[in-house]
Amino acid sequence: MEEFTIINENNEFKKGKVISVFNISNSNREIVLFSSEDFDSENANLQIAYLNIDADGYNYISQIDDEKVLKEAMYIVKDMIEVINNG
Amino acid sequence: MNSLFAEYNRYVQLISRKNMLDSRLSQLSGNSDNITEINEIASELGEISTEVSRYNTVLLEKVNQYFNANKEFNRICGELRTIEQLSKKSKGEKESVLSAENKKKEVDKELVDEYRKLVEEKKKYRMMQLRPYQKLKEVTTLLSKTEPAIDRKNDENVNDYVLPDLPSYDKLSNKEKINELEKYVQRIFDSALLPGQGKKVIVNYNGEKKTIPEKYKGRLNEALIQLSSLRKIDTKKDNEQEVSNSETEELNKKLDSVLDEINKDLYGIKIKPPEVPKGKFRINKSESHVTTKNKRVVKKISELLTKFNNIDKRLTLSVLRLERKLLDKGITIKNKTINFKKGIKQKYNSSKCSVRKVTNVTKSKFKREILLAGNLVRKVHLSALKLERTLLDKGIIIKNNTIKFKEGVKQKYTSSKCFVENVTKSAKNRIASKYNQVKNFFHDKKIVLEKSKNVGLQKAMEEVYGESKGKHLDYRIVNKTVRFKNNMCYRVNERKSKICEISRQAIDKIKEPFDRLKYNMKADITREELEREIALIKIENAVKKQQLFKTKTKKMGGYVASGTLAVLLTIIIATIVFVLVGNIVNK
Repeated sequence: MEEFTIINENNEFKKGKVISVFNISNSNREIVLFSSEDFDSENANLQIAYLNIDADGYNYISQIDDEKVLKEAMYIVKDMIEVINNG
Repeated sequence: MNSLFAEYNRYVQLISRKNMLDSRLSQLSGNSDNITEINEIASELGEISTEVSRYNTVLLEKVNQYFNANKEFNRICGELRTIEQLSKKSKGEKESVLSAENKKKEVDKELVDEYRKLVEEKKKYRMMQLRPYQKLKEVTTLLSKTEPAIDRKNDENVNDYVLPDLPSYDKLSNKEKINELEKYVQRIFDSALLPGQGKKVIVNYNGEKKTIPEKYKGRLNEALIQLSSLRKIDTKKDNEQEVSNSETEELNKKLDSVLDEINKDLYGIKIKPPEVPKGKFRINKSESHVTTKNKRVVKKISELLTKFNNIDKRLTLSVLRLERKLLDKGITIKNKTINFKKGIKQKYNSSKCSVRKVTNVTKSKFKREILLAGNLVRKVHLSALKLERTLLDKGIIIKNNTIKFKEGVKQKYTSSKCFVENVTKSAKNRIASKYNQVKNFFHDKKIVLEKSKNVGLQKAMEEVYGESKGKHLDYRIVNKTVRFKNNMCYRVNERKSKICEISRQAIDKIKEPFDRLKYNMKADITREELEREIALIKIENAVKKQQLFKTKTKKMGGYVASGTLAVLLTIIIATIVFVLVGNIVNK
């Protein structure tokens, strides 16, 4: 199931949808690109986070604290979207 | 005290409101229609929890004790007062009893026992009330001065508690990670032997069939996927090392060939002995060789020698390093030839003679290094000796003299008289190209060394941060289906991890090619592969569009044909009817 529920810093519930999973050379951890969408409006955000596995084999997400990794991951997302748009 | 009372009342109100909202939230949970109400409740709960967290819990407990005692005390006082009033009104027999303040009170005989009990309780509660009151005397507010815990998390400037630096799983090296995962997998296999593990399944592991509890199947799969990816990375690194070794070997071979060619060229140059004009050249008869002052020849040969010296220096450097290492360890290798008597067998006890255990790998590496360094030095010496011999054959000795000219005096020379030999342009170029080859060799070697140290890639990545171009980015798209627990809600700081705001339609458009990619993916893919896959998808789309267009046009063609047929038929029928009617009318 690639949809999940999010609660943000303002305690608002949102719907998350996984778009893609990738990893970068600077970090061994996997990074997930997902969208967070409002339940009752058309607003949405593109987001990134670390993708982890718990003891039962289920995935969970955690925030990317390393500024360098965050920046590079954002560049990669930009690059991926450019590739998709331009071929 | 009044302000404390107000604050305490506010706290009680907040707690009661929180309980009410919690119960309402539990009623609404699981119903996505009321999501706006849920969001409102959640935000209000958040505000309440921040306000509650500002209260000092220790002081709250004290105030709570005080107010509870005060409440009970007031109740007892009220009851005593009612007994006193009742006994005043009653006309029955009365008895004098001491009150809690040691005053005599006339109380009805029937109520005496109860009055005494209440007096005792009043005394007890007065003490109980007094103690917390004394504790609260100096307290002015129940709110703590420190910031609430939730705000602290959001504040970026506040330093969090730093955990001791224990080696986490992420910081482990690849090999250590592989070891850890192998142990983990083994533990899963061992768990099948334990009692009460439930239903078991058979799995294939390294070509062997093993039983594991069914509940651990997911964990095993994840561990095996991670293991395989780590092993892939490990083998890739080994291959890169092998490649770099082979590159250095190739470059060494190249150097050998270049050196050989230089030697050939040197032999190929024919330097004629100069025609010595009288008074210009000095002939040293005792040493029986000629010295020349011709600048071109001297320059050429000195250049050659400096080039060779440089090569020699670079190559002897490795030998010197090896020597220094050995000297640091107190080992000197003597250049001694050993002669054994023929026909006598030498005996030695290997256990007593061994100095240190050396692995086969280090042994072979050591041997190879010595051989390589020795060979190269020998070759360079040989070529230098050959050069010296050729010069000697021609009767030329190059002296290592420093030339000093007098200051302020102009030197005169006749170029036609100092001329030794014409060297053709092609020969000049050939020699220059050879030296360039040597120069390039060292340049290439430097690049190989940089590659092997993995410095180039890092620098390139650092450069990327300042650039908007993504062509240097190194990433892989992972072939993975993500599984989240159904009933879980994940906390995300949207402000920090947000890339951009986007509409739902745009997200669907981005998601579509990724979904298609995932459907066709068999393994992880790199950026170049992503480009290729996207191009393929685009081509596929274009073909589909064309096909769709064709079928549409075909359909349209069918409609047009059937329409024209129908019109033609009606016209024919109409003409026939008109002709028939006309004939009938005419007749």
